[in-house]
Amino acid sequence: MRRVGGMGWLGWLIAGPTVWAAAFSVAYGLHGLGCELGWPALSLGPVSLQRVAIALPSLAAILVCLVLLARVKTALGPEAGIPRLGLWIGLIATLYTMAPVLVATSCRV
Amino acid sequence: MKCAGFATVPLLLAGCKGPLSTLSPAGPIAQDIAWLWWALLAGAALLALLVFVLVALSFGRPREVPEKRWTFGLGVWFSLAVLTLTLAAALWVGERILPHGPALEVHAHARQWSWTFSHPGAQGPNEAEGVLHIPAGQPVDVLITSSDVIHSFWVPQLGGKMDAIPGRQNRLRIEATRPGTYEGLCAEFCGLEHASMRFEVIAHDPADWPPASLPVSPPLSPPALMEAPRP
Ligand SMILES: [Cu+2]
Repeated sequence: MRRVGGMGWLGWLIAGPTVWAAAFSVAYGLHGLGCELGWPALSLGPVSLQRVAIALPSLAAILVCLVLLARVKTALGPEAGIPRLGLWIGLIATLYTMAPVLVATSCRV
Repeated sequence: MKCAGFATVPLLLAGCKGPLSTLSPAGPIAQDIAWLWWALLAGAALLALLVFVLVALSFGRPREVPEKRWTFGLGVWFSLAVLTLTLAAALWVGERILPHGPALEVHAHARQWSWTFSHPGAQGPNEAEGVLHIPAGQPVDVLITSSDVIHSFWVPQLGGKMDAIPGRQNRLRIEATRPGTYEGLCAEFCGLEHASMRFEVIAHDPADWPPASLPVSPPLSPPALMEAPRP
């Protein structure tokens, strides 16, 4: 079991926000790339490749948060409290900041 | 000390009026942006009030703090509600001010440190240094290009701002409700003379459009004024 303040515990503590930040950066980069490469015009079923490309990193981030949430208790035991909160923050922040991606206009030339 | 603080208030408020103020909109697009500005100010004021109340309370005697009210009620839910409302307002305005539908197209070309504009005229395209002519009462799309570094086209009373990026052509929609002269400036630091990179937008009565009185200037010699944007 990891100690409060140990490196492992610290890793668990910042996991949620880190996953969110990574997803945000990847989506940001793909957005610019997609606008330049004309992804909004390529349709994948009901939505454009652009929306799928931007939404996928968020879905991956949410999945990672859920997996970590399922394991945090086993990994940290009684010290799981604050890291669990961090994971929830990462998950909710991802949902919150990515939701506009599904509705807002993506590119303008 | 307090009086000195209050004495600066009129000075600060004086910045809210005038030809370069977002808060004196002169068209529907600038109106939307001004509305968003006020909405964001209201949201920021609510959150600032919460912080001030917390600071004020901390000066009193130590007391029992109901976590349900302060941490979750105000700290989480109230803050989230304010942020969600302002986010929704920003998305709403952002979509509204995009160039939807057809509009008259004019060109703005930036270089260190001046602007060249062109618009359709009675006898072919008209080019002018530092002055953009548009008709009032209808949307106008400004196609923005640059020949050297990144500049930014901004007419605070008529619309948002848009970067002029070398090798690209960006589109910004503006609109003036009434005929008049509006001031514009470069809004991206672009070198020593950046601050003097100002221009005027003259909105004409739609009845006089295209203005016949303007001289038809010969096409500017090289470097080619409006390079074709990349495909
Ligand atoms: Cu400039």
